[in-house]
Amino acid sequence: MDERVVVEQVLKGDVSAYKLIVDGYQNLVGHMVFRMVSNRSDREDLCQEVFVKAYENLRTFKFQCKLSTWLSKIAYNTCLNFLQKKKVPLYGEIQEHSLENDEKDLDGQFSESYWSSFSAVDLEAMKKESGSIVQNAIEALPPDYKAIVTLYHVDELSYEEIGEVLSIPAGTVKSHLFRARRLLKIKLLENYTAEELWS
Amino acid sequence: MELSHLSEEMLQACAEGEQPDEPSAEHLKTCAHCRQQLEVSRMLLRSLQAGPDIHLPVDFSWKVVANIEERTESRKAWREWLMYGALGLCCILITLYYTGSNFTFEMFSSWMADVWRAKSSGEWSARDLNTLFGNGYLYLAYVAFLLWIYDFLDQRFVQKGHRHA
Ligand SMILES: [Zn+2]
Repeated sequence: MDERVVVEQVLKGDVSAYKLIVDGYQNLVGHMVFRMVSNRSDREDLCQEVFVKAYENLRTFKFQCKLSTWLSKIAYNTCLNFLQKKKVPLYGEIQEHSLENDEKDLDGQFSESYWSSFSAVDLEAMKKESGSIVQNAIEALPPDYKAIVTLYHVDELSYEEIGEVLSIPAGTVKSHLFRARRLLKIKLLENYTAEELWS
Repeated sequence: MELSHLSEEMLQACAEGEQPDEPSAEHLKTCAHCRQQLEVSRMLLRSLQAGPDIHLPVDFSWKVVANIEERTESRKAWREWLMYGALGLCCILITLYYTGSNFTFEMFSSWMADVWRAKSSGEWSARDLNTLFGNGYLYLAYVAFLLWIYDFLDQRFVQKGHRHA
């Protein structure tokens, strides 16, 4: 669909044209909301809220950025407001101080003999099982980090675009992304043995 | 050997598909620890790329549109009431202006009676209008004022949505 045409149609008062935009971007918005908000019953309402807000502010959107970036920004701010209202701590259980132990924690979790016993076939099966453990670890990340890993890895936005969504410089996005992945690794290797992670 | 383990930056970059530099590649060949670190990074990356499971109803976009239409309707109704309110207020102000500070309820009821008589006789003569509005000039001012109010409300609320299109 040509976004400009659709947006203009909606602005002329054709509400049903807006359905095309919702269909096109409900996954993008869903990724952000379902990642940042853990309460199942609130998620759909929040997705609705994002699209209603976007509709009401559509005339302020002048294609100064991609529609996906603009919608992500609304989704991010809506989630953040929601979390603040619900008094969900904006910094999860993973704290920055665990970074200090970074190198130590990352060292020597697996024995060399264990590692060398891996075969390529094993890895395929292990991948599936480890999925939920990793998803839980992602769940425990601070909201900003969750937003960044989702926008980067799932929705494939650039550092610049993510920076626009979170109102931070692209360089900060890059370093946050690095830290988020490092935190996840630390968290996983702290709490799980190799066997649990891979079996 | 211990000191030359791959940095986390390098591990993340390799997991994302970047080619390690020559010394790092050599190191990976001989260091099981770094290979396992790299494999954890890769596994993490796959999990991150998988994203959360989204459970939205199949008719989600219809629901959004219905929600928006409902809001638009209620806002339109509100706008109408606002306009009627403004017109009503306008009539009261004009009446007060017309009758001056000597306004009494008797004046109002006899005025209403005149209106009623004109309405039920079905004949709106110039004299009736004169009765209603005092004189022709005031009547014109009245109409102009109502038009101005209507235009103001229309500009302010109804057309606002389309001006930026
Ligand atoms: Zn090494």
